Amino acid sequence: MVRLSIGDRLMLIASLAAFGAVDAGYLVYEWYTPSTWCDVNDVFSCTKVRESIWSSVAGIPTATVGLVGFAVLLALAVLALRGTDQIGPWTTFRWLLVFAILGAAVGVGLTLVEVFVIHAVCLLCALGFGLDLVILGLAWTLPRADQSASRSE
Amino acid sequence: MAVKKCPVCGSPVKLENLQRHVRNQHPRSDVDVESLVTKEERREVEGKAAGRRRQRVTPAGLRIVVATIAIVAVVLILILVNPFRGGIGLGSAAPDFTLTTTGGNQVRLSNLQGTVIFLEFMDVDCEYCIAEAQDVLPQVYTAYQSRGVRFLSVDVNFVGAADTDARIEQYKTQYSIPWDHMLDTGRTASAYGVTGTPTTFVLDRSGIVVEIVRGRAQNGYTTYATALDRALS
Repeated sequence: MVRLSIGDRLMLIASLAAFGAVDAGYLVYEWYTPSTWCDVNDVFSCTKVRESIWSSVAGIPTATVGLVGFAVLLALAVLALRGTDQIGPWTTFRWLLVFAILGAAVGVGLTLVEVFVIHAVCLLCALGFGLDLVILGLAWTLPRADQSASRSE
Repeated sequence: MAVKKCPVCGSPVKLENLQRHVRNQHPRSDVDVESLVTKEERREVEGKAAGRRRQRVTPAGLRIVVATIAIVAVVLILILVNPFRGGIGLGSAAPDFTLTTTGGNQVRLSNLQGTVIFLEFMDVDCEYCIAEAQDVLPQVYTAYQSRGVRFLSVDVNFVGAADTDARIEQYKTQYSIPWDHMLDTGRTASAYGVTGTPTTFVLDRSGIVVEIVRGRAQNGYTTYATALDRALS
């Protein structure tokens, strides 16, 4: 079993956040482009989700939230990798955890809406949600890993 | 964060910036800059700077990162390329169907052999369908209906409120649409692999699919006109 260092975890978070940003960015782009995409059947249909009222708020695509969130997570992971351990009142790891929790909360909410209200799942949205859950899992372990690393130093 | 008051102006200043602050902000003061920070304080500041360390990525971790990136990239590409999409492709024979128009007439596709068909799958609540019904389809209809093309729209009832013949009739009246509309009561949309609206098929006289337009036509009228010209030739 490979034990990941803090740097490994941060690099993983940065990579996943970059993919998340690309994913969400593509969803934003597609929202403005009138075409169908990532449709498998009636249930797994990005088009059906996009055509619902939940796909935008005040004319701004909902995926913008994901784009901004993943960009923030990416920036925080890069800052932590470069050695920034404190941003304002909190540690960088804590900021990462807070944003990962926020992202997961939004993801849970939108996934529930997709399943129970729209009755369709957008696979690209689900991928973004999945990425955020993995980031949350990694961010959750960072403070503890940091403590044990400090103890071993 | 270690902070100390400036002996000249009294403002709180970070320990590591104190000497620079006094030198730059109070160049005429007679304070001994070197004595502003004690040895212990200097050690504390330097210790903190040393503690600000770059996080190292291990070779094993890098391999895991690369593997993860590869997996996520494959998933992303699979979703976008979508090899699991069902339905029919260009050159396929259009699946037969029998549907009833909102006017009460039965339409059987196989009975229309010998006619070029413009077959639109739409939803009265789909904003892109409404947009096309207003700015593209009337021109296409005007230009090609007289050349023998039969226009048919199938409402797939994907989004919004439940579609009924009455709602479709209301939609037709609102946007002055003259051609036949039918509510998909069976699995027509599924047979054609329609998962989003509008999706439009152009069928030649033999019932072969010569064009599929998913979503709004990129080039509007030109997209449909080119396909219909090909089907008519």
